[in-house]
Amino acid sequence: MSRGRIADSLIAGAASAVVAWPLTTLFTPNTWIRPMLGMVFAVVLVGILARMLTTSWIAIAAAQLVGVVLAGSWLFGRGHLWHALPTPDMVLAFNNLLVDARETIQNYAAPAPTNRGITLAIGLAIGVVATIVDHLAVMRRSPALAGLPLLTAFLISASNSGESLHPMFFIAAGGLWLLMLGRQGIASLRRWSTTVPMSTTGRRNTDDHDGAYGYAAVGRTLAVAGLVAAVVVPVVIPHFPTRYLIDGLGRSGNSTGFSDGQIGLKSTLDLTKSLNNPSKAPVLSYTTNAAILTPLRVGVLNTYLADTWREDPDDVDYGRRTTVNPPPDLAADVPRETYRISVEDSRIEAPQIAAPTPLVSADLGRVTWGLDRNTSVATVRRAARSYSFSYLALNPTQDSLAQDRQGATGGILQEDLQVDPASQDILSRLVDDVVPQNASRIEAARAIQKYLRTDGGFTYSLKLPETVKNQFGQDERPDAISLFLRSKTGYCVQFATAMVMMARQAGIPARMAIGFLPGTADKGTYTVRSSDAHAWPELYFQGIGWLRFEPTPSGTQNTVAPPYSLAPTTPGGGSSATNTATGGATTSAPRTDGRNDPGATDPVSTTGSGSTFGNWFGPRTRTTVLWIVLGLLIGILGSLAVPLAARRRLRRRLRHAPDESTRVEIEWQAMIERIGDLGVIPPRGSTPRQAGRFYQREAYLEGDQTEALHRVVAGVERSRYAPPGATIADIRTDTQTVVKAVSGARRRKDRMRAAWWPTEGLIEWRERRASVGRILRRPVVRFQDWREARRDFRA
Amino acid sequence: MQGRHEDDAIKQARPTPVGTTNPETLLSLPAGSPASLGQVTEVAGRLARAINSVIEGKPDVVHTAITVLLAEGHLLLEDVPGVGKTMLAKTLARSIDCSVRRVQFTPDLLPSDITGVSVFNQDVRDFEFRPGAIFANVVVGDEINRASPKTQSALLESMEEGQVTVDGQTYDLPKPFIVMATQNPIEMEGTYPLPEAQRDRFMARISLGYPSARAEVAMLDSHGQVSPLETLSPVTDAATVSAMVRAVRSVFTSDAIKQYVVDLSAATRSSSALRLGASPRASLHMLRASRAHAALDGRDHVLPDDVQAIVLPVLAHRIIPTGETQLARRSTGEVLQDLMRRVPVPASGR
Repeated sequence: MSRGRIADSLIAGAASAVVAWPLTTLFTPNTWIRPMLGMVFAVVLVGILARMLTTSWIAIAAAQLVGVVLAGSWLFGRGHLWHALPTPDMVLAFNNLLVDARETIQNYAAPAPTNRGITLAIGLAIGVVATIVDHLAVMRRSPALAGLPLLTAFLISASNSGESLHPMFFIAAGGLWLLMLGRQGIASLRRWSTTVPMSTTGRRNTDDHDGAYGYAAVGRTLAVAGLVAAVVVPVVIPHFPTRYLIDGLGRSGNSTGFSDGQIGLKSTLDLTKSLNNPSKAPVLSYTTNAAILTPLRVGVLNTYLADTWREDPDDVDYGRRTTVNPPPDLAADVPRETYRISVEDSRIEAPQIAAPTPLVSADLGRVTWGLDRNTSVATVRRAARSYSFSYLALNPTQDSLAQDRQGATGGILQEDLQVDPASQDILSRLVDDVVPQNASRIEAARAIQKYLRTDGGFTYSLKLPETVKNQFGQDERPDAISLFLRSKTGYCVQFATAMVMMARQAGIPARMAIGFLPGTADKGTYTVRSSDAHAWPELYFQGIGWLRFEPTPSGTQNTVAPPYSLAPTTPGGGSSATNTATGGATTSAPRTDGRNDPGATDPVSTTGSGSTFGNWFGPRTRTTVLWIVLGLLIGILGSLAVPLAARRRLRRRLRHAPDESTRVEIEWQAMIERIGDLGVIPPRGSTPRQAGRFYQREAYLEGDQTEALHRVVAGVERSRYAPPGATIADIRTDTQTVVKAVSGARRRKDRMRAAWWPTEGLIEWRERRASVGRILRRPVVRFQDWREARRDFRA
Repeated sequence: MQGRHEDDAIKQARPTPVGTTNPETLLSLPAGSPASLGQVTEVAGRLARAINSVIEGKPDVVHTAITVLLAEGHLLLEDVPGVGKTMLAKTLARSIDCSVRRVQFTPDLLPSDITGVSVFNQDVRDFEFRPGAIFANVVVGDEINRASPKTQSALLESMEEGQVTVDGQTYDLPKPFIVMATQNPIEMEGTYPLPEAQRDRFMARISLGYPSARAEVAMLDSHGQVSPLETLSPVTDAATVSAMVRAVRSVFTSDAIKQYVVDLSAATRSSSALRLGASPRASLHMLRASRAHAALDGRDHVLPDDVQAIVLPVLAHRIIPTGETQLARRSTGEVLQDLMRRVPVPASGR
């Protein structure tokens, strides 16, 4: 019965099942649990039975996987069974179910509904995890390693649930893992032999794999492997995506400002922060009857202080009203269309709500909501999951924009004209440059947008430069706006802020709006994701109100400038502007990486260095190649370190040997070490003769090899035990013959290990380390001596 | 003078061999000079062949016996009755052309029967020494545990000293001198088993054990009509054996080997499985037996392999296992094997 290792198998199975527990936060209802437990049980049962029958791990793992598939077939493929065995139809059925599962996972935010596909996918995945865990923890007896698949399975749940998991999940899984570790540790302790003493020579016993040395060696190997991987992987793969953690565990509190399952945009914006790769998590989906899509606004910021947009105090009149008064300063003759947008599955947390502007009517069900009296931003008391708004799409004519008519000026705050003092100089110079003399307000605004969007040579980048060169070529770190305007690199927040500040400098009231781009369409339903978060400027025009502008070039984000913000190509050319905008909105977003945007790529191609090498490899590629070469070099040197140390140690010892017999002894020891590295270790306490016989038997030596071995043994015996004055022959070439012969009889794996990881080399490194340690300890020892001497002196 | 004279007298008392069917001719060396190693191996090989022709299927036991002979030790043959203990002793004695005495130990045997006694010679009107059974090159003591402790002591004392003192007069024993005592461990009634201190004086103990089936058939064949011992002729003589002994003495023992021998003895003393470990005399015996073993292999220096080869016969009868070891049914041989695996082989001692 002990061959089945029932207890260990059950614990491993339980651990695999428990790491699936956090999936309860991702899928509802929890009908998937029972099939999943059935799969895990199949793995455990098949494992126990297979272990009783065979010791081949491949056979056992294969049997377990077959068990998983069979269990899955019985549970999910009733119609495709032939005498309880799956038929070829089963593959198709499974495929359909798994496609279902994939679509469910892609389309639903957590918690997603549990369907048969999801149940099958979870069952299969956990079944495979259970097989791996069973193999590592039970077959290989290394439950520590089994922690990796367990952790991976656990992290998949943890990273996708989007909220902090209850500690219980981790404690349960970790507890079972520790239980496995503990049982294995006890088993190892019991295997420690009580009759084999420590070696009296003080050298380590190479066959002491179960003892403390074994653990220490495993620990050291893991540490070294981890260190090497930490250096080599980033070097060889320079931009390994960090999404795994960023999308999951690292989500909260980063600069995109999402946290806690519910998504909220941060109500402050720091211009100095680079953005990480944003999440693709869905925020909301909506349908609309609008021809031209409009971004959904979440909030408005008026106050800019020290590189940061600050939140303003709100003043909201909450209620459940369904109609909204149109903005008081909107003149009646401004052309407008009324559209409706129905939002489903919004995950934006209260009090924020994504809404187009300006609103006409609203239907939020039982949720109380209101508009801010100053900014007319919609806010809610509690999060509304589905709601609908009607809004006005303003399309002011050239005339109405150019008129600068007088009207009510509600909604302008004092802050909306305040220019950031730190960057006022550069802003005023720039506005003088960009805005033509005697331009109207709308012309000024268009000029600023055109400058930022296309003419100015700005580059869209989520990574912000730290510094910028001044005219003397020195690195400088000015305020955020100046930095952006001089480095010409930034993302929507920088573009929008620059436009707000330049507009304010030009005397146009402006403010910062934050929200989401229209998102991507799929069969009439638009899905907005976290990565669609956006910021844009709103400029105030009398008689019209706040108008959205779009200074951000359409880089990774598919930003479309509103038609009225573009300079008319023909007099009264509202049509062309409309075409542009419509085209932009309806093609809706194949997300390129900014290459289509001339403003984004031109500076790069023109600022490349003039040499031919520079043309072949851009500076970035060159750096990458350099890193790869450096990494390879380090890797090669690292892998040669131990073999070279071994060779060096042997040479040094031979050089310092006082006489021929010592030299023979060193050669003999080196030969034993090298053959030991090959996995042939003679029994403890063997005499040279016995070791020789052992080698001959184990490595199937014959002919010349046997003679060489005999000469080696005879030489060692003479050097050790013969009367003084006996002639001692050099055994160097013979030892080499023997090592080569033994090596030829061993497996490739052993040969590699002997070549790259020789014991002699490890000893050399250990001695080096010890000598360094002695040198480092010397001052301490001296100090202690001195103190003792002083104490003695006093005494 | 006295001793020499008596020696000759004993030699005359030895029965002359009946026939010389043994193909080996007697190989004799000039007395006084040490034999070369080649001669040692040659003569030992003849001896072994001669004994093997009588004691069939036990070459290891024969080799150990010859080793003990050349190492100037004494041999204790301990086994159940009828496996050829006495036959081995007698064959070894017969193979060498030297004086042989066989003493059948009985409870009424007196010490003077062993050592000899002074009797009053009417002719010369003086006491005259009549040498006992011990005055021979090879003494076969049969069933030594049947004699009284007093008699046993007399034998063992002379074994150790190599001389006999009677009435204040000391008589040297002939060289080479080997006592081969047999002992029956089964039959305990009316016996006086050798105490540990006495057993320690034997260099090695050999148990012959039952022969293999084939060897037993062969034995029935050869011993059926006439004992091959009757037709065995000596292959060497006492002087040659003495020369061989001197050659063995000259075998080189490195410090490493000496250290190894001492380590092994120390290991028996500190082993938790043993109540009594090996004595310093045991170390000495080990060293001498190792030398003989090396010489028999034709080597002029001792290897750890030689030491390991003789550890079991030399140490097994001297150590006493603890009660736990006995309860665990571990034999002293197993304990010694275990110790040999644990004591590291010396690398260099020079």
